[in-house]
Amino acid sequence: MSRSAIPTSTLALALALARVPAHAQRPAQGDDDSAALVDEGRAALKRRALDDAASALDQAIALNPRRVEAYVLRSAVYAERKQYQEGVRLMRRAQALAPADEDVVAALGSYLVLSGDTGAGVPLLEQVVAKDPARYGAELLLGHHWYAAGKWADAITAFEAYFAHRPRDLASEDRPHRIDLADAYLRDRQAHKALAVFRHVAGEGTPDLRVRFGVAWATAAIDCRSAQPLLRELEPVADAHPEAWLVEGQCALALDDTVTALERGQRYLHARPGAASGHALVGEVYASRGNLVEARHAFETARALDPRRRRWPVRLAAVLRRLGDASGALAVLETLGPPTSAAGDADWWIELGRILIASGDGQAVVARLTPIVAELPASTAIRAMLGAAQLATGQAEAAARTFLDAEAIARTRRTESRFADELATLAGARLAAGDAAVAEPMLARAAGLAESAAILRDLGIARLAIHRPGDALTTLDRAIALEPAPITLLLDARAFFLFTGDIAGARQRYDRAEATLDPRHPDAVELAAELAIDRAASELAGGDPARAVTAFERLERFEKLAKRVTAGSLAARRRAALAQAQHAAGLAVLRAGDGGKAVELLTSSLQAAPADTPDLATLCDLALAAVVSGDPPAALKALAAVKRQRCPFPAPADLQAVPILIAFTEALHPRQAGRSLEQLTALAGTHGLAAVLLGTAMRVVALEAADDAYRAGDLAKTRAFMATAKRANTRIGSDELTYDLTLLDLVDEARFDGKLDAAIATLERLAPKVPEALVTLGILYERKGLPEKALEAWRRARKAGSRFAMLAEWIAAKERIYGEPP
Amino acid sequence: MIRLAIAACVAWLAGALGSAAHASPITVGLFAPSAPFPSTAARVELANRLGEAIGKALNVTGSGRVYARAADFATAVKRGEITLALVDPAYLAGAGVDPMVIAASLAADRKTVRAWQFVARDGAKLAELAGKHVLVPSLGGREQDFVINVLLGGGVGREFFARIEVAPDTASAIAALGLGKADAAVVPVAGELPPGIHAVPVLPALPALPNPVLVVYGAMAEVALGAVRDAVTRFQGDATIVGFRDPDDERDARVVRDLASRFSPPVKRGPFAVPTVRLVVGDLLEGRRFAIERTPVTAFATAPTTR
Repeated sequence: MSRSAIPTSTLALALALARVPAHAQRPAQGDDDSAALVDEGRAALKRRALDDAASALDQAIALNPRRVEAYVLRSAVYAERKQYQEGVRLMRRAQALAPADEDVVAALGSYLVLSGDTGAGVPLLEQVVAKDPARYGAELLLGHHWYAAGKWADAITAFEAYFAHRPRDLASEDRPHRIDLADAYLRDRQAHKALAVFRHVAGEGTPDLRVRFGVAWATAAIDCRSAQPLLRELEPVADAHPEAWLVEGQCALALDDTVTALERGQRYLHARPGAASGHALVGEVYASRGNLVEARHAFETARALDPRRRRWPVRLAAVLRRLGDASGALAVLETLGPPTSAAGDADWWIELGRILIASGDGQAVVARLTPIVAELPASTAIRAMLGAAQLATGQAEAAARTFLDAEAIARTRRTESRFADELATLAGARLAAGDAAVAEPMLARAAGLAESAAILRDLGIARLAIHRPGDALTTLDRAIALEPAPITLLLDARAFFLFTGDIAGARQRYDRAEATLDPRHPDAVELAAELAIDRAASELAGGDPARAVTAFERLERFEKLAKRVTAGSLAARRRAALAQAQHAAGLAVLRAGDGGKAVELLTSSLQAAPADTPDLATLCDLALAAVVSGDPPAALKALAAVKRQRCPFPAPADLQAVPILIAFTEALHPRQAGRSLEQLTALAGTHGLAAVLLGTAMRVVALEAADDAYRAGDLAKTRAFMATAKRANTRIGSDELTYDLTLLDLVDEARFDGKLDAAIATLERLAPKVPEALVTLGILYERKGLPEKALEAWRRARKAGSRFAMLAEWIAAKERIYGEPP
Repeated sequence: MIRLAIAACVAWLAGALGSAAHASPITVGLFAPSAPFPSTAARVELANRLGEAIGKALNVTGSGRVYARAADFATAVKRGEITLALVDPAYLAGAGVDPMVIAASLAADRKTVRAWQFVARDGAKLAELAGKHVLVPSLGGREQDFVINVLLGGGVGREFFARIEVAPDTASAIAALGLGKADAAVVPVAGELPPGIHAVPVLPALPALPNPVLVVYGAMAEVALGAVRDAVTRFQGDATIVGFRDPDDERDARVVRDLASRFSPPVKRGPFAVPTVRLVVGDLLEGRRFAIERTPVTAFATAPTTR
C-alpha cells in the first residue's frame, strides 16, 4: 500500500468508526451506564481528544464487555494512533461477540490490511463492500491494495466507489487517490479517462511531476503526435526520471521513427540497465526494422529481467515466429502457459493463433482457439484467425459464423478497419502460401468491411489465382480507382487479357501501367521488369511474338537506370522471358521466309538466355534460319553446331534434318549441287517428315544442279538432273518442275514450235505460282508473233518480282516499239 | 683530242636529224560515216589536222585521209597505207575485226558516247514505222543487224521495216530523207534537223553508242604509241569531234567488243525456276508453341504486416 494511502485510510477508518450511529446501539444495553460512557467517548473522538475517548470507551467496555459499539469506537482511537495490531486484537474480541456485525467486520478487515495482513483483511473488506459499496473506507483500502497488486480494473472499481461515497470532509485528501486512479486508468488502457483525471488534478494547483508525467503519458497513449511536445517538456527532468525517455521512445516507435525510438531506448537503458521495459522497447525497434536476431536478444533479456511480465515472452514468441522458428515460439508460449483467464492476456492467445497459423496447423488453431473465443468477446483478431483456420480446414460454415461474429463486434466497436486489416493480413499469408482459395473469401469480407486499394488488389490477386479473371478484373478496376499503382495496373491488364483474350484492349492497360512507372521509385527497375515480362507473356499468348520482344525494348530506359536488374532471380526470369519472346518471334519471321531477321532474333535469344549452355532448340532453329537466310557459310556453321544432336523437329527429322540441310546448303555453292545430290541420295530410306524434307531437298538440289547445267549450256546434263528432280518424292516444287521441263522443251525450238499453244497454256496456268513462267511466256508470245502480248507477259513477270537479269532489257526493247508514246 | 670529240658529236647529231628527215610519212585514216560532220570538207579537215598532229608527235610527215566506203578503207588497211585510223566502233564490231584501240573520241558534250534517234517526216511512234524504208549511215555491212539488234535490242523482227538501206554518212542520210528518198533514217543525235524532219519519240530512248575510236593497224613501237597517245590527248578537234579522252587501252577496247556482242540477235531463253528454300524448312517448325511464364500472381500480394 502506498504511503500516501495510509493516512487517508486511517482517517477514513477513524471517521467511519466514529460515525457508527447511535441507533446501532443494542437495545438491551440502552440503559446501561456504559451507554453514557460510549456517548462521551464518541464525542471525544469527534473532538479528536483521543485520550479522553480511550478512557471513556475503556470504562464502557469494562462496565459492559458485551457492548460491541464500545469496541468499535475504541478501535478508532487505535486507528488514529496507527496502533493497528491493537486494533486487530480489540476487533477480534468484538468479532467473537458479534461475528456478523458489518461494522466489526469492516473494522477488523481494515486493521488487518493496515497492519499488513492483506491475506486476511482483503477478503473481509471485499465481503463488506459487496454488501454495501458505500463503505468508502473499505473501498479506499481495497483500491490501494489492488493498485499495488497491479489489478487495475479492481483498483478502478474500488476508487470509483470511494469517490462516490466518501464524505465531503475527506475531499481535501483526494489528490493522491485521484492520481492513483488515473494511473490505474492509464494502465488499464483507459487513456481518455486517465487523461481527464490527471488534467483534473493538474487543474487543482501546481501540477507535480507525477501529474505532468501522467498527462504526458496519457496523451501519448491517445495520440503520440500530440504527446511529443509534452514529452519534450519533460526532458529536463529525464535524467532523474528516465521513464520519460522510455515513453518518448515508445511514441517515436509508434510514429515509425525507429531512429529516435532506438536512441531513447538505449538512453533509457543506460540509466536503467536492468529495466525490462527498456530492453523490450529496443526489441520492438529491432523487430520493426526486421533485425529479428537483435530483437530476439532484447526480448530474451527483458524476459530474464522481469519474469513476471507476460508481455515479454509473448513478444519474444512473435519474434521467433517471424524468424521462422514456429516450434521455438510455441515452446516459449507453452512455457509461459496460458493466462488464468483468456481476457487476462489476450495477446498470448493471439500470438498462439499466429504461431499455429504460421505452422500451417489449421486444426490446432481451431482446437486451441475455439474453447476460449467466447472469453474474448471483443477480440476480432482471435476470430479472424479462427475463421481463417476453419476455412483452411474445410469448415466453411463455421468460418462464416465466426467471421459474422467478428464483423458484429467490429461494427459495435467501430473497428471494422482493424478487423479488415487483420483479415487481409491473414489472407496475405495464405496467398503467399499459395492457398488463394482460402484467402479469397477472407479478402472479400475484408473488402466489404473496409475497402482499400491494398485489400482490393490482394482480392484481385486471389481471384486471378483461382482462375476467376472476370471477377478479378472488376475488383482490380476498383482498386485502381482508389490508387492506380503500377502493379495493380499490371494485374488489371493481365486479368483483362485472360478474361477477354483481347490483346488490343490489354495493350491499353499495359500502356497505362507503363505511364505510371516513376523512374525515381526505388523499385522502378523491378516493376519495369515485371511489366515487361507480363506484357510479353500476353503478347505471345495473343499471337504476336514481335510485340512480345518490343515489350522489353519499351522499358529499356528503366533498366539502364540500374544495373542491378542484371542480377538476381527477377533478372534471370526477365532474360528467360526475353529469350523466349525472341525465339518465338524468330520462328514467326522464319515461317514468313525472312531468314535474315530470324537469324538476328534467334542469335539475340541465345545471348539473352540466362543458361550457361545454349538452348539446343534455339540452336537448331538458328541453323534453319541461317539456311533460309541464304548465307551458306553461316548456315553450314550453324548446322555444324547441332550436327548429330536431337533437334526439336518431328522424328525422324530430329536427327536427319540437319544432315539433309547440310547437303542442301552445300548445294548452294556454285557447281556443288551435283555432289550434294549424291549425299542426299545416300540418305534415302527415311520416313515421315524427314522423308518429306529429303524429297524436298533432293528436288531443290536437283533443280539447282539442273540450273547450273542449263546456264553452262549442257542440256544433256540438265535433262539428267531434271529427271532426278522429277523422281524426288515430294510435291514441293512441282510447279517449278513443270515449268522447267517446259523451258527445256522450248530450247529445242524446231521441235517445240508445233506445240506453242499448249506451252502457252501451261505457262499461263503456272504463272501465278512461278513468276519465271511469265518470262518464258513472253518469249513464246514473241515467237508466235505477238509482241504486245510478249511485252505484257514480261511486265507481269516484273510485277511478280522476277529477278531475271535480262527482263528489264527485253521490256525496254519492246516498249520502244509497242509501249505508250512518251 | 678535243677537236676529235667535237667532230664526232657533230657527226652523230647530223646522223640523227638525217634519219628523222628521211623516215616514212604517216597517214591517219578516217572512216566514221556515222560521225555527224556537217560536211565532207569538215570531215577532211579534221582528218588532216589529226594526221599532222600525230606526224608531229612521231617526228614524221603526217596527213589525213577520209574514206567514204568501207571497202576502200579496208583495202587501204590491207595495203598498209594506213597504220592509224579514226573509225566507227560499229564498223569494227560489225566487221568482226579487233584492232588495238588506243583512244576514244569526245563529242561536243565531252562524252565518248552519242545518243541515236529515228528521224522521219511522219510518225508519232516507232511502231508507225513498220513497213517503212529506213536509211542508216554506212557501216560496211550488217546495217540491218545494227538497226534491229544493236539499236532496237531485237525488239522487232527483221521483217518489221520494209527496207534498211545504207547512206554514205549521217549528213547524206538526212539529206536523202529530206528529198523523200526514204521514210526514215536512224542517225546520231547532233544539232538541229532540217525543216520537215523530226525525231520519232521513243521511250525508253535508243541506246547511246560509242563515238569513233582511234585504232592502230599492224605493229607500232611502244615509244611511238606513247607519243601518239600524248598527241591525241592534247589534240583540239572541231565541233563534231572535239578531242580524245585520256587513253585506256582496256576500257577502250571493251567498247568495241561489247558492241560486237550486240550485233547478233539475242537468244532468249527463260530462266530456270528453283523453289525457294522457305518451302524446305517450313514443315519442321509446325506445332511449335511458345509461352512466357508469368510471375505467379500471388507474388504480387501485399506482404503481411509484421507483428
